[in-house]
Amino acid sequence: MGDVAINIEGLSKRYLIGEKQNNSLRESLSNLFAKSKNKADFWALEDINCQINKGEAVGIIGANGAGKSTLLKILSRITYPTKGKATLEGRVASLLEVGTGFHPELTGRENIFLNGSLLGMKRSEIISKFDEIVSFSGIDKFIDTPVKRYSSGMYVRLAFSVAAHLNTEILLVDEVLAVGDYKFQQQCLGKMNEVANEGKTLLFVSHNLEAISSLCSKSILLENGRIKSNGSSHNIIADYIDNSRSAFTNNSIDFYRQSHRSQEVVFKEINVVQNVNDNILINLVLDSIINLDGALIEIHLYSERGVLLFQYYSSDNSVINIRKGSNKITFEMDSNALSSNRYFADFKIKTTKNVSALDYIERYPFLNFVSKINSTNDGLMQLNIKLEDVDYIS
Amino acid sequence: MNKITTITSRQNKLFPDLKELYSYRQLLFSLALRDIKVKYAQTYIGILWAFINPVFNLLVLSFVFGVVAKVNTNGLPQLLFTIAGLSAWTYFSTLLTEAGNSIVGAQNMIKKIYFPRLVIPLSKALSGLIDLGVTLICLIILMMYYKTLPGVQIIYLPLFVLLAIICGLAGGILISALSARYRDFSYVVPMLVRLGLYITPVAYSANSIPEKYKIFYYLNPMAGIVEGFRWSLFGSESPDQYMIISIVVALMLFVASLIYFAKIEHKLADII
Repeated sequence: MGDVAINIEGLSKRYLIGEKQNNSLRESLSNLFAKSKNKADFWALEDINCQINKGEAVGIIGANGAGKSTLLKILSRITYPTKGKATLEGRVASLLEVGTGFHPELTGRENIFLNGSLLGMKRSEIISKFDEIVSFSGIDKFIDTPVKRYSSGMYVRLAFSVAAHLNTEILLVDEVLAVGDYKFQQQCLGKMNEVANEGKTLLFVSHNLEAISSLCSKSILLENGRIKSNGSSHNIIADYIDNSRSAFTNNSIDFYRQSHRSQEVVFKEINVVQNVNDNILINLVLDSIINLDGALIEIHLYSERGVLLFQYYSSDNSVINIRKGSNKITFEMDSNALSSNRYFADFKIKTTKNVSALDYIERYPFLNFVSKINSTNDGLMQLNIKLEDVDYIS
Repeated sequence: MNKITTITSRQNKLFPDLKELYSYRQLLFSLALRDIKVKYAQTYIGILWAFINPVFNLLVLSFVFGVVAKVNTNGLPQLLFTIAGLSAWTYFSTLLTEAGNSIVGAQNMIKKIYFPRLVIPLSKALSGLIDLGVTLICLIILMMYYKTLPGVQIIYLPLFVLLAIICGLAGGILISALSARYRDFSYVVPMLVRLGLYITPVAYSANSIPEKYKIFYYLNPMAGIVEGFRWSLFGSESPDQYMIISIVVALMLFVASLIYFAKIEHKLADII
């Protein structure tokens, strides 16, 4: 195959929607007789063609539902295409979710071995990289503690470390930086940069356009399952941002909901307004079919380019008790630091007991903020700064 | 030369890729080890439960079958007779249940990581061997106590253990693939296990079945395997010739389940 590491020809993937999948025999039998009514085709990917050279780091960007994850799932052989063909040269490792296969009852050490072998590492390979993995994760002291006692940050760090030390020629990475603290995100980016510099091929899906532009020289923009444009990251990202401006007209929450979430507690409405004092009011309506004490809400604020600006976590003294029915929750945020820009936000609801979210709204068009302070500054923040003094020292 | 992976829509394999499966043998052991460790995690006496559980089960069931419901055992001590039958049956039914639920239980992994899916039900065969081992050790101790030593046919015991593994996997793999799409099948397993206990010579001897029905009786693969266990442990007369029916059925079922699994394997992430 010469210089080409990944060759994709006419790749398409169709899902049947409209009717839910036949999960019981009766449904399937009755469908035999009532042939294909209500069945709608949904092409998650349609006629994707591209080539990725060895040693290239390529970013894949696009709005929710554009087909980014489906593409990675096909390339990592989790699901198969309906049409078309992809050829990959070299060992492939994919990291679609951090910590898959981790078992809460097992210790960090045991999970490294389990997760490593799930990702296709040989035992000898894991042993030889063990110290490196542990020191990268920075959890040396807790390596023999069951991971259910870990904080979610520690959990993610250990899981990423295992995957980051896979010795493969092609690495497929889905939005894994959405978790973990800023310092660790930087560490992960550094590691991926290292991977890219070692001549490995990297395919990286992210909403964080800054990360994409620093890591990947080329990018592919997907829109509704098709390649919209393909080229240098700089141009593609500019193209995408132009496009995403129209996202502010689509406020349907369901569009931004991460699939496969629990149906117990769901965000029904998200409403963000600037009040008279210029403060931001965030009104959330949560519909619940259960009573849930000790719920935590997380809000992550992002710039238009996907840079994480601010994270809010309900702390121990601001846990919320969710009641059956509709729950309206209001936050007030001051806007002093915001500049005239578009902002996106993630909303999550969790419990104190579980790392994964009960409901997760991703990259919701949060606010098109217009600062009342007329400012020509187009940076990410608006800080109060004024001229204090001028001294002439002769 | 680097490994080339080609991905197309035509993934229908006729049989599982055994070479690839072998390259993932490490995962097989890791998953089995995980199941064992998780089972006894956060218990005070830990792995001791692996001994207490089977011993306790044996005591209860032997009492029920051996003392309360007297059966003809060809002069063998009741306890030995029942334990020998139960050891094979318990291993089989546990494997059938756990392997049958294994794919649905591992759906998170299946949706996020590629590996030969067959590893999941296969790993259940390994973790169950501990209980079987403990039971057989108990049995040997009891045999010494009753001064009933096995004859040369004991060398066939490993063969019948292997057949019990194959038989449990055959059902388990089939159920795991079917229940990925139709959860209905996970409700069938407990019924099969309950029914199986009565149509398998666990608590009684297959000799009590009239000769003319034996050909049907041994269509149940576990009938021959349980009889085989008992024969290799204390057999005096030659084994029942009908036993071969059970063995053939078990092997055919195993191959059929592998073929079905290979057919559906690539779709699992989408249909589960």
